[in-house]
Amino acid sequence: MSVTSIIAHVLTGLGALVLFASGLGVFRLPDVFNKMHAGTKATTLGSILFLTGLGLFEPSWMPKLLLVVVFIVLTNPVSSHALARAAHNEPAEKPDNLIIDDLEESKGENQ
Amino acid sequence: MKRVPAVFSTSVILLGIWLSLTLSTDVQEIVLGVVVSVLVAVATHGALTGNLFRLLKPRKLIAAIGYVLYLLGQMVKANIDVFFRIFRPVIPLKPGIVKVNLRLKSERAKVIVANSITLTPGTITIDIVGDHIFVHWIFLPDGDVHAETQSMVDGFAGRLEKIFE
Repeated sequence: MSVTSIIAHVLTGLGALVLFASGLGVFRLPDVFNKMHAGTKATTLGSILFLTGLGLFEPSWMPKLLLVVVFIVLTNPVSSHALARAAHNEPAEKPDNLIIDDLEESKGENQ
Repeated sequence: MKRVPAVFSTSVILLGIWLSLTLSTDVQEIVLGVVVSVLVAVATHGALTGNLFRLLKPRKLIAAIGYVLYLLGQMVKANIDVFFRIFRPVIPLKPGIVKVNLRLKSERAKVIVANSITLTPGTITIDIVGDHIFVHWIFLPDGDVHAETQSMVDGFAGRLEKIFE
């Protein structure tokens, strides 16, 4: 077993673990904003680790996989912002456990 | 003529994406890639990247590399944080949305700050209105919440200011 192969195994394993944690987080956390914490951060790093590990198994795939990584890093937070803002505008989806909510107050000021 | 550097940077980036997708040294593929990249860049006025030549100064390049490393470090921290939070029997939560100032001229820099905050420990960006950014904490910091959030946002904004201005 070569060193590259060992690193690749470790990276894919870690990536799978982080992706699993992300899935579990989306399941366990109570409301839409907190679910989003697990759904964006953990999936982004999970995909980076997993795809880099995969690239080490098959070096000829590396450029394409790195491109996928760049697109995930650029687009994953954007989709999260869109969902978070939509959820905040929808009273039925908004959680009532927020300790402070400056966005709600500033909405009142604008109207 | 003002648009030429932006159009040129966009076509170079698009060509780079094309080449890493095709992975072929065939002349036909490369020529097609060049033609399509330039057409798309001209049609969009280089809106994808803007003028990248402004970044080609050693000071700004070092700042940009420093920013990427800083962000990667923060991302690893974020994941360790999420990881240990999720596996606790009772998940510690103290959520809240905090409004702080974000004074950056460049719209591109604002987007990068918002995305970076989403990828760092315990925080996601909900909205940006004018000069203000709204950050959701999964566990609010102790002490003055607004001051803590402001220093976290300034950590990113200060580093980006060196690159974009």
